[in-house]
Amino acid sequence: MLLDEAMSAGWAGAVSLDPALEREFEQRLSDSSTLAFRVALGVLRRREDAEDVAQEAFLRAHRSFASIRDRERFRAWLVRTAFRLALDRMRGERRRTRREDRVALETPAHADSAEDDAARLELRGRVAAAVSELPEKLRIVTVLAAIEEHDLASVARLLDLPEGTVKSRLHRARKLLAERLRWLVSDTGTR
Amino acid sequence: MACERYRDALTELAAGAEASADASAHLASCEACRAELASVRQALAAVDDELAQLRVAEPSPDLAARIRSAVAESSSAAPAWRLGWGMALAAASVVVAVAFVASRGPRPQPPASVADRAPAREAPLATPAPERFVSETAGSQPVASERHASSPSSRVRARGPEVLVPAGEAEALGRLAASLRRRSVTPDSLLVADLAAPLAELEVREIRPLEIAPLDPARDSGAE
Repeated sequence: MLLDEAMSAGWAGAVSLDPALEREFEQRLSDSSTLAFRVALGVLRRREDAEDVAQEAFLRAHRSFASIRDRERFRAWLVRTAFRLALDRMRGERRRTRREDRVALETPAHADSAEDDAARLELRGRVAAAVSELPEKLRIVTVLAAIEEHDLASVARLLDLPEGTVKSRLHRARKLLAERLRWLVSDTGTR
Repeated sequence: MACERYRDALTELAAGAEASADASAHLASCEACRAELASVRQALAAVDDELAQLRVAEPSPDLAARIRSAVAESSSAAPAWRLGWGMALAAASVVVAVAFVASRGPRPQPPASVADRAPAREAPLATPAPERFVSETAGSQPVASERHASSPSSRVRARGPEVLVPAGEAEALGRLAASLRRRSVTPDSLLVADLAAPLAELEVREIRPLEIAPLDPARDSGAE
């Protein structure tokens, strides 16, 4: 929906930002909603939950938009907020119930999930569990590196960290994952 | 045992670090470690495959519209939300203020003599009650006993009028009251010469009740 359409639909008239800020917010929404969704998906692994988190992150962004309107600043803020909201949601859900069937990242309908055999599903579940058990600082770097196609400079901008710090954390994350998964492949993949 | 030494090096290697010359030499000669390195790399490849799905994951086409709708709803609800919190805060402030004043203000006390609240140097002293208080105190509060009105029992009973006297004058006033009661001192003997002179004639004035004129609607409407 373009801004003009939104205004004609009454959306822009109901918000409290001035028109210039509203246009900027619309631009941020257009170019960053997928980023927020993917960050949340990297934590929650369920599309529905990830979309809820992305929506909540943008709601909060709208309230604070005057102070985060700069694009880079906005995206960094959005990533952190979506990640934090996703973690909070996951913890709350874990408290409510342990969902053993949520072992692998939900994939789009066109994915080849039919080809997954039990061993592969188990492998994916263990991989997902290993990622989710990473310390938060390492986890967000791992998720963002995947989203940004291992462009560490981009990850560094999003996290407002030196690139060397990102690289170091990513290496630590992979080392931890390697330690936790080192027997996994021989146990599952080679059966 | 030798392989155990290279365990950490294998993990580092799998995670992307470069192998030391020592570790490379061991790998070249140890098939088991090469196999383990391969399996760890395979596990990390599985991680990469799993996470790579994030790169292509797309939200529902209506996500942006849902967010717009939620933002609009939130924005239109914000004033009422803020008003509600504002009123709650105002009410809480009033409660706190009242509690603060109540905690610092005079506390309710049992019926106590005024003398109890007087400075220590100001001794309470009962004087003969004026006429309008006679009915309250007559027969129950001898003047002499009221000098001890600070005792617990008398504090409860002491409801008659009492006076506070300036510091240093309580004893003198007490002696005067006692002398008057013994009639060893008469009021006339206390009058000085000037006060014995006739008083000036008092001017009698008539005090009329205040008249309140009723409102005149016709006049009020005409003035407008």
